Amino acid sequence: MMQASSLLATEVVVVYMITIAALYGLTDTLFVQLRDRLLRWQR
Amino acid sequence: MQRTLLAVLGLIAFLLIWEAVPYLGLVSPLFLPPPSGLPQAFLREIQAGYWLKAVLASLEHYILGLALGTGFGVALGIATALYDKLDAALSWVVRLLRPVPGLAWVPFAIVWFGISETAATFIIIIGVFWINYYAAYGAAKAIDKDLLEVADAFGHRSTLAKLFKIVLPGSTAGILAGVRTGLGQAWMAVVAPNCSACPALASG
Repeated sequence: MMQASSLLATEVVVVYMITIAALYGLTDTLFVQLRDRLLRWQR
Repeated sequence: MQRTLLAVLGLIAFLLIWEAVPYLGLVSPLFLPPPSGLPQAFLREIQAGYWLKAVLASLEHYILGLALGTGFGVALGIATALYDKLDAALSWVVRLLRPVPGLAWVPFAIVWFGISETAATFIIIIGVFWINYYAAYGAAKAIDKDLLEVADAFGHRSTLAKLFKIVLPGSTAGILAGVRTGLGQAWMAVVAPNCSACPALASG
Protein backbone atom coordinates (compact mmCIF):
# COMPACT_ATOMS: atom_id res chain seq x y z
CA MET A 1 0.00 0.00 0.00
CA MET A 2 2.87 2.35 0.88
CA GLN A 3 4.58 1.69 -2.46
CA ALA A 4 1.29 2.21 -4.28
CA SER A 5 0.64 5.53 -2.52
CA SER A 6 4.18 6.76 -3.26
CA LEU A 7 3.57 5.98 -6.94
CA LEU A 8 0.17 7.74 -6.76
CA ALA A 9 -1.45 4.45 -7.81
CA THR A 10 -4.57 5.43 -5.91
CA GLU A 11 -6.68 2.60 -7.35
CA VAL A 12 -4.20 0.09 -5.88
CA VAL A 13 -4.37 1.91 -2.52
CA VAL A 14 -8.18 1.56 -2.61
CA VAL A 15 -7.83 -2.16 -3.45
CA TYR A 16 -5.80 -2.65 -0.25
CA MET A 17 -8.23 -0.46 1.75
CA ILE A 18 -11.10 -2.71 0.63
CA THR A 19 -8.98 -5.79 1.33
CA ILE A 20 -8.47 -4.64 4.92
CA ALA A 21 -12.18 -3.81 5.23
CA ALA A 22 -13.06 -7.32 3.98
CA LEU A 23 -10.58 -8.95 6.36
CA TYR A 24 -12.00 -6.91 9.23
CA GLY A 25 -15.53 -7.89 8.23
CA LEU A 26 -14.53 -11.54 8.20
CA THR A 27 -12.71 -11.45 11.55
CA ASP A 28 -15.52 -9.44 13.19
CA THR A 29 -18.22 -11.81 11.90
CA LEU A 30 -16.29 -14.87 13.13
CA PHE A 31 -15.70 -13.17 16.48
CA VAL A 32 -19.37 -12.29 16.96
CA GLN A 33 -20.30 -15.94 16.36
CA LEU A 34 -17.67 -17.08 18.87
CA ARG A 35 -18.82 -14.46 21.40
CA ASP A 36 -22.47 -15.47 21.08
CA ARG A 37 -21.49 -19.09 21.66
CA LEU A 38 -19.35 -18.18 24.68
CA LEU A 39 -22.08 -16.04 26.26
CA ARG A 40 -24.96 -18.42 25.53
CA TRP A 41 -24.97 -19.57 29.17
CA GLN A 42 -25.84 -16.04 30.32
CA ARG A 43 -29.17 -15.94 28.44
CA MET B 1 -34.77 -9.69 5.05
CA GLN B 2 -35.73 -6.02 4.77
CA ARG B 3 -32.59 -5.02 6.64
CA THR B 4 -30.42 -7.05 4.24
CA LEU B 5 -32.15 -5.45 1.26
CA LEU B 6 -31.63 -1.97 2.72
CA ALA B 7 -27.97 -2.75 3.42
CA VAL B 8 -27.46 -3.86 -0.21
CA LEU B 9 -29.32 -0.80 -1.54
CA GLY B 10 -27.25 1.51 0.68
CA LEU B 11 -24.02 -0.05 -0.60
CA ILE B 12 -25.15 0.23 -4.24
CA ALA B 13 -26.11 3.90 -3.74
CA PHE B 14 -22.72 4.58 -2.16
CA LEU B 15 -20.89 2.94 -5.11
CA LEU B 16 -23.01 4.83 -7.66
CA ILE B 17 -22.29 8.20 -6.04
CA TRP B 18 -18.60 7.29 -5.80
CA GLU B 19 -18.56 6.32 -9.51
CA ALA B 20 -20.44 9.47 -10.55
CA VAL B 21 -18.10 11.96 -8.83
CA PRO B 22 -15.01 11.29 -11.02
CA TYR B 23 -17.20 10.40 -14.06
CA LEU B 24 -18.87 13.84 -13.98
CA GLY B 25 -15.47 15.50 -13.66
CA LEU B 26 -16.14 16.83 -10.18
CA VAL B 27 -12.86 15.27 -8.99
CA SER B 28 -9.92 13.91 -10.98
CA PRO B 29 -9.83 10.07 -11.12
CA LEU B 30 -6.28 10.35 -9.76
CA PHE B 31 -7.65 11.83 -6.52
CA LEU B 32 -10.68 9.55 -6.39
CA PRO B 33 -10.35 6.39 -8.50
CA PRO B 34 -13.79 5.18 -9.65
CA PRO B 35 -14.92 1.79 -8.30
CA SER B 36 -15.29 0.47 -11.86
CA GLY B 37 -11.49 0.54 -12.22
CA LEU B 38 -10.87 -1.42 -9.03
CA PRO B 39 -11.49 -5.00 -10.29
CA GLN B 40 -8.80 -4.48 -12.94
CA ALA B 41 -6.33 -3.12 -10.38
CA PHE B 42 -7.22 -6.02 -8.05
CA LEU B 43 -6.55 -8.59 -10.80
CA ARG B 44 -3.22 -6.94 -11.62
CA GLU B 45 -2.16 -7.19 -7.97
CA ILE B 46 -3.25 -10.84 -7.79
CA GLN B 47 -1.47 -11.80 -11.02
CA ALA B 48 1.74 -10.06 -9.91
CA GLY B 49 1.55 -12.03 -6.63
CA TYR B 50 1.67 -8.87 -4.51
CA TRP B 51 -1.83 -9.20 -3.05
CA LEU B 52 -1.48 -12.66 -1.50
CA LYS B 53 1.99 -11.87 -0.19
CA ALA B 54 0.76 -8.63 1.43
CA VAL B 55 -2.34 -10.29 2.93
CA LEU B 56 -0.37 -13.21 4.39
CA ALA B 57 2.26 -10.87 5.88
CA SER B 58 -0.48 -8.64 7.33
CA LEU B 59 -2.33 -11.64 8.80
CA GLU B 60 0.84 -12.87 10.47
CA HIS B 61 1.41 -9.50 12.18
CA TYR B 62 -2.27 -9.14 12.93
CA ILE B 63 -2.82 -12.49 14.63
CA LEU B 64 0.35 -12.32 16.72
CA GLY B 65 -0.12 -8.65 17.67
CA LEU B 66 -3.79 -9.12 18.47
CA ALA B 67 -3.17 -12.22 20.60
CA LEU B 68 -0.33 -10.65 22.60
CA GLY B 69 -1.95 -7.21 22.95
CA THR B 70 -5.25 -8.75 24.04
CA GLY B 71 -3.58 -11.20 26.43
CA PHE B 72 -1.40 -8.59 28.12
CA GLY B 73 -4.20 -6.00 28.22
CA VAL B 74 -6.79 -8.34 29.74
CA ALA B 75 -4.31 -9.80 32.23
CA LEU B 76 -3.12 -6.39 33.49
CA GLY B 77 -6.65 -4.97 33.46
CA ILE B 78 -7.97 -7.78 35.67
CA ALA B 79 -4.91 -7.70 37.92
CA THR B 80 -5.26 -3.95 38.56
CA ALA B 81 -9.00 -4.34 39.16
CA LEU B 82 -8.40 -7.08 41.72
CA TYR B 83 -5.44 -5.55 43.57
CA ASP B 84 -6.00 -1.99 44.78
CA LYS B 85 -2.31 -1.49 45.59
CA LEU B 86 -1.29 -2.48 42.05
CA ASP B 87 -4.02 -0.19 40.71
CA ALA B 88 -2.68 2.72 42.77
CA ALA B 89 0.94 2.00 41.84
CA LEU B 90 0.17 1.91 38.12
CA SER B 91 -2.40 4.69 37.98
CA TRP B 92 0.02 7.41 36.84
CA VAL B 93 2.08 5.05 34.70
CA VAL B 94 -1.14 4.29 32.81
CA ARG B 95 -2.01 7.99 32.53
CA LEU B 96 1.49 8.68 31.21
CA LEU B 97 1.57 5.94 28.58
CA ARG B 98 -2.10 5.70 27.52
CA PRO B 99 -2.27 8.87 25.37
CA VAL B 100 0.90 8.07 23.39
CA PRO B 101 -0.35 7.27 19.87
CA GLY B 102 0.72 4.06 18.15
CA LEU B 103 2.51 6.00 15.41
CA ALA B 104 4.69 7.74 17.99
CA TRP B 105 6.03 4.32 18.99
CA VAL B 106 7.30 3.60 15.45
CA PRO B 107 10.75 5.23 15.94
CA PHE B 108 11.18 3.32 19.22
CA ALA B 109 10.02 0.09 17.61
CA ILE B 110 12.74 0.53 14.97
CA VAL B 111 15.42 1.38 17.58
CA TRP B 112 14.45 -1.53 19.84
CA PHE B 113 13.66 -4.23 17.31
CA GLY B 114 15.24 -2.97 14.10
CA ILE B 115 13.31 -2.80 10.86
CA SER B 116 11.69 -6.15 11.39
CA GLU B 117 8.50 -8.13 11.69
CA THR B 118 8.79 -7.78 15.47
CA ALA B 119 8.66 -3.99 15.19
CA ALA B 120 5.46 -4.14 13.11
CA THR B 121 3.91 -6.59 15.58
CA PHE B 122 4.90 -4.34 18.49
CA ILE B 123 2.92 -1.43 17.00
CA ILE B 124 -0.17 -3.67 16.80
CA ILE B 125 0.33 -4.85 20.40
CA ILE B 126 0.41 -1.21 21.57
CA GLY B 127 -2.72 -0.51 19.50
CA VAL B 128 -4.86 -3.19 21.12
CA PHE B 129 -3.31 -3.31 24.60
CA TRP B 130 -4.99 -0.23 26.08
CA ILE B 131 -8.44 -1.01 24.70
CA ASN B 132 -8.34 -4.44 26.32
CA TYR B 133 -6.77 -3.10 29.49
CA TYR B 134 -9.58 -0.63 30.12
CA ALA B 135 -12.32 -3.04 29.01
CA ALA B 136 -11.08 -5.78 31.35
CA TYR B 137 -10.42 -3.32 34.18
CA GLY B 138 -13.91 -1.83 33.91
CA ALA B 139 -15.61 -5.22 33.58
CA ALA B 140 -13.77 -6.72 36.55
CA LYS B 141 -14.32 -3.60 38.72
CA ALA B 142 -18.05 -3.76 37.98
CA ILE B 143 -18.36 -7.21 39.55
CA ASP B 144 -20.85 -7.10 42.40
CA LYS B 145 -19.00 -7.18 45.74
CA ASP B 146 -21.81 -9.33 47.17
CA LEU B 147 -20.86 -12.10 44.72
CA LEU B 148 -17.31 -12.07 46.08
CA GLU B 149 -18.71 -12.37 49.62
CA VAL B 150 -20.86 -15.29 48.48
CA ALA B 151 -17.70 -16.90 47.07
CA ASP B 152 -16.06 -16.44 50.48
CA ALA B 153 -19.10 -18.01 52.17
CA PHE B 154 -18.90 -21.04 49.87
CA GLY B 155 -15.22 -21.52 50.66
CA HIS B 156 -13.73 -20.03 47.48
CA ARG B 157 -11.45 -17.73 49.41
CA SER B 158 -8.29 -17.72 47.30
CA THR B 159 -7.80 -15.05 44.62
CA LEU B 160 -7.44 -17.74 41.96
CA ALA B 161 -10.75 -19.35 42.96
CA LYS B 162 -12.53 -16.00 42.92
CA LEU B 163 -10.95 -15.20 39.56
CA PHE B 164 -12.28 -18.34 37.90
CA LYS B 165 -15.58 -18.69 39.80
CA ILE B 166 -16.71 -15.05 39.89
CA VAL B 167 -14.51 -12.46 38.17
CA LEU B 168 -13.92 -14.08 34.78
CA PRO B 169 -17.47 -15.42 34.25
CA GLY B 170 -18.93 -12.10 35.44
CA SER B 171 -16.73 -9.92 33.28
CA THR B 172 -16.61 -12.02 30.10
CA ALA B 173 -19.14 -9.85 28.23
CA GLY B 174 -17.19 -6.66 29.02
CA ILE B 175 -13.85 -8.26 28.17
CA LEU B 176 -15.21 -9.56 24.85
CA ALA B 177 -16.51 -6.07 24.00
CA GLY B 178 -12.92 -4.85 24.41
CA VAL B 179 -11.57 -7.73 22.31
CA ARG B 180 -14.04 -6.85 19.54
CA THR B 181 -12.97 -3.20 19.58
CA GLY B 182 -9.37 -4.40 19.49
CA LEU B 183 -10.08 -6.50 16.37
CA GLY B 184 -10.71 -3.32 14.38
CA GLN B 185 -7.96 -1.33 16.07
CA ALA B 186 -5.44 -4.06 15.21
CA TRP B 187 -6.26 -3.76 11.49
CA MET B 188 -5.74 0.01 11.74
CA ALA B 189 -2.43 -0.67 13.46
CA VAL B 190 -1.41 -3.11 10.69
CA VAL B 191 -1.67 -0.22 8.25
CA ALA B 192 0.00 2.32 10.58
CA PRO B 193 3.60 1.31 9.74
CA ASN B 194 2.61 1.52 6.04
CA CYS B 195 1.67 5.16 6.42
CA SER B 196 4.54 6.29 8.59
CA ALA B 197 7.30 6.74 6.04
CA CYS B 198 8.74 3.38 6.94
CA PRO B 199 8.19 1.13 3.93
CA ALA B 200 10.34 -1.64 5.38
CA LEU B 201 7.76 -2.09 8.14
CA ALA B 202 4.96 -2.15 5.62
CA SER B 203 3.11 -5.36 5.15
CA GLY B 204 0.38 -4.30 2.77
